Amino acid sequence: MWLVHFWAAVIAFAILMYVVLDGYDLGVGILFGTQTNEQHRATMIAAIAPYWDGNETWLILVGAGLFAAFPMVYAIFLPAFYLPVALMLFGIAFRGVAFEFRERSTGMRPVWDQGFFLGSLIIAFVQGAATGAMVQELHVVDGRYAGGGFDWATPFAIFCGIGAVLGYALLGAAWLVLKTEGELRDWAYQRLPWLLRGVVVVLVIVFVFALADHLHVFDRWSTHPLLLVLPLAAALAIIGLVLGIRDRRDGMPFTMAVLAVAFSFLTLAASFWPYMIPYTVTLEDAAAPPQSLEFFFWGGGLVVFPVVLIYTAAVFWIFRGKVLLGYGSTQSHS
Amino acid sequence: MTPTLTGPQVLATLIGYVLVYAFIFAFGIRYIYALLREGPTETGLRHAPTTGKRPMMAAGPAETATGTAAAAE
Repeated sequence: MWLVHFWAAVIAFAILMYVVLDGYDLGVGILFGTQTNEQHRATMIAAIAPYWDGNETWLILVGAGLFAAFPMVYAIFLPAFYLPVALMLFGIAFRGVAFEFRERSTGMRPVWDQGFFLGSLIIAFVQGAATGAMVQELHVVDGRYAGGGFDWATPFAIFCGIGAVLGYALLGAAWLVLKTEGELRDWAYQRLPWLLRGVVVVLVIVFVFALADHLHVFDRWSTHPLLLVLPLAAALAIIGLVLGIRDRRDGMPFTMAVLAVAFSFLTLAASFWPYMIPYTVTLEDAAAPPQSLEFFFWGGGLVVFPVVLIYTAAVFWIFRGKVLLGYGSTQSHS
Repeated sequence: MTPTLTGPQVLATLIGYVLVYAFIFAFGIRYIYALLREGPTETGLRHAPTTGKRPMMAAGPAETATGTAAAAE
């Protein structure tokens, strides 16, 4: 049934877009917490203000897409991650209002700033930890989640959460290098190599742990060795990232970081295939009835999805180039 | 229904949502009220071309809009 594959492709693409796009603006939010200069903080906000809520619509597309096309995945994922996802939503709420409220308030500004930083941090952590818990396999019986509310909190998953925080911060620093100039760009350049080292260390430890724990992830790799081209491409992108930092070519770190994330995501997707909840629920198991998939195809697939794609591209085109203070910046401090 | 989701978990998140939204909306209403009291400012007029999703931009920076910033800083 081609519609099942169509919707799986749309959702996979939307997840990748979300991780890359919200990844860099969450990363800027995480780095924001380590920056004390108010002028630079204002520039950091201005560097993501036109994009961030557009970026987050990809998460809504993922959620709505799963609910409509693969309701079983939605029904397993949410109870398995009920508390962390609620925490993530609190983070999204605080982070979203911080953009406006920090400019309106001087007395309360530290509170909104902390909300912005901690919100970004928690969102990144929950997403990484959920991915780690999925790799370790959820306790699913008869298509239902049968574990407890804290089953996700394994050392492996927590480690993956830390990895996501570092990875998003890496994307964020690369974005700042692309969009800013002067002192703040230097600051971001200084952080890039450290964040990259952190990400590589986490990846190596996760890999060794998965190998030692005999996780199912590796079965696919031993039967389909050609797939190794994906992690290899990710490694090449990381080398490109290192070169971009060394030569200080402003556009290169972000491009290479995006490629590294994209190939890492494809690597993960290839290890899961054909499962959607590894390794219990397949694409076909989870798919909604053909009538539903077809119904959603005409509205969601042919209209909503392209519209989101077009406005994402439009925003990036309209706000291309370096940040010009004046949009979303606190004028009072300039 | 979801068999593994317990009552206390649901209650905890419900209370969480109420608290988070009460906090955010309390300050949101306060900031919008301050905006209305202030009325249009010269800075606001200069910023006039703004977008619907950033309505507060038109009000300019906090210092001029609330009039309390000097004391707070």
